[in-house]
Amino acid sequence: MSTQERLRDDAKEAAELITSIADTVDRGSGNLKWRHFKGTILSVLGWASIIFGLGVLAILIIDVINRATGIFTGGQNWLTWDFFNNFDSRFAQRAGAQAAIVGTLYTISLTILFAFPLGVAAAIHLEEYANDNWFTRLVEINISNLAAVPSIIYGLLGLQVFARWLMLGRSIITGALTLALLVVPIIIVASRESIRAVPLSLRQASYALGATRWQTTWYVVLPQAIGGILTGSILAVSRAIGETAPLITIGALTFVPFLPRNLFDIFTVLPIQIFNWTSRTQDDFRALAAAGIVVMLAILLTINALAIYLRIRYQKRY
Amino acid sequence: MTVHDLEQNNPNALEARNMSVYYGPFRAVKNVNLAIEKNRITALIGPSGCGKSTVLRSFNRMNDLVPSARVEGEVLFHGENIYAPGVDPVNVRRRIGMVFQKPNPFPKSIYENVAYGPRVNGWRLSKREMDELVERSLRGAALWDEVKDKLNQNGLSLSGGQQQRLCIARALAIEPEVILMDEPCSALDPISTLKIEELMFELRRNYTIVIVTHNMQQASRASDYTAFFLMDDDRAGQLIEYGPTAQIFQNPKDERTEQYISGRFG
Repeated sequence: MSTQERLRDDAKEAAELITSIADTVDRGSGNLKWRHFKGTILSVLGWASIIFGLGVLAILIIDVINRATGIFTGGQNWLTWDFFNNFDSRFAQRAGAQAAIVGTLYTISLTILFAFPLGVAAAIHLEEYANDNWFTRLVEINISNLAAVPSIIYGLLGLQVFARWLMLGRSIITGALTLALLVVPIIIVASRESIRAVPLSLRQASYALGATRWQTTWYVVLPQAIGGILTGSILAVSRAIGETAPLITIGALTFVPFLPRNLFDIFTVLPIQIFNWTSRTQDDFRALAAAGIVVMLAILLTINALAIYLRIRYQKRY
Repeated sequence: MTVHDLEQNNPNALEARNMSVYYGPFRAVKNVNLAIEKNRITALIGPSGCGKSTVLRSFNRMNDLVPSARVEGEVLFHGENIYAPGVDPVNVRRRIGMVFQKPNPFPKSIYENVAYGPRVNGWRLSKREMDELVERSLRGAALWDEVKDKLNQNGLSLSGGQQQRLCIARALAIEPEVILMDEPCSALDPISTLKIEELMFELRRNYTIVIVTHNMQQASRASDYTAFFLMDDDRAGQLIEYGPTAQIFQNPKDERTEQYISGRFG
């Protein structure tokens, strides 16, 4: 074989090799269009879901605001000073939500006062102090389960324990304690998550400097976790604001034409007031209910804004 | 001779006697006898999993933080067993400081990082005394000149090497006698590593240093004594050979030491 022939053979071989490699590559990315198409379908579906969810919410909010104020389609504005200043009445034109708004603010403040320290303390104990044994695990499982218990069950518990046994009656304090029971498991779960997210290396650094367990928890773990704890707690409290069932169970009233004189007085809250108005036959009461919903949403948004503010503030500090 | 004189004459800062460490039923380290000389740098070397970090963490009871960990035998510090009943691990850790593998400054200001130890230990210092202590500690860790104008900046804004020196400064602030370093340079670049090694030589005058290192060059150039650990057949780490660094690296007695330092395994 001449040198030329040999070279030609080599070249042929190389070309075949390259073709075969190219073949392999081709086989590896088959169906590319179809695979990209599947991706497109998924992202379109995702967008559609978001738009559906937000769209329904937007329609609801616009409708409620419109019914309450007549801002888009004309009609009476029910969100007036009178609405905040008047008590409930048999006559829609004279009815207001003062008792319900004040009742909600009282109840929720007390709920936070009871539930927040209790929930955070329990979370600290479970994460930083408790040994990993069968008892701790039992407690953990049950706390997670409690977070999923229907709220009316808490109402029954509150009725028996707080209203009857402790003889607190149908008072604000009974309502707040019942709602606190409802949100404590949620606060514990959320707080534990954010306590657990604090890196172990920071705890070790603290212990290695001669800090006690409590000092490590207080000066290192909590400052790191407080943002998450606050966010979780406030979301839990937001849930409590909207709760109706447990408060009806413990006997919160639907018609309260006066402000509570003290924490042991009977009371009502916004969701109950709204529920009451929607069940009236006159259309005007439904407009009042819409106004009540707008106020409740405003309170919720304020509390959520507070959560965001606190979180940003604490993150800046540490 | 008083107890005090005895203590003055004791050349050892720490002494492990027949020390074994268990994690649950698993024995991670067995029968270690090791005396750490005062004002010297002692390097613990050996392949991964040989228990050198476990030994280090037993010297200031950091293993107590692992729920299943248990230590048998004795670790003598000033002639007293730090595992004796009644000894408070918090007090042990104040006197035997530790620097970790990954720099772990608190997400607080540089100043607060250094001031944390004195604060949690209940030292009642005036603002001026604390300022002085923070400066002295940062100077001791060769970091002062780099951070003196930004003491209020977050410690996490520093570079990795600076963060590690901040961690050393933080450990110095509570005036420990011994500083344990667990692979302090493994996350650092060569220049930062060199700085830490120079710093160790400075610190040796006032402190006793025990360092775990994976880096044999580091052990050979930056330590006075070297302890070589190895797992045996039941996966428990044990001390194979211990002596002056020059001897371990140039003239090891044990064949396994020779094989390890010449890079034949590990």
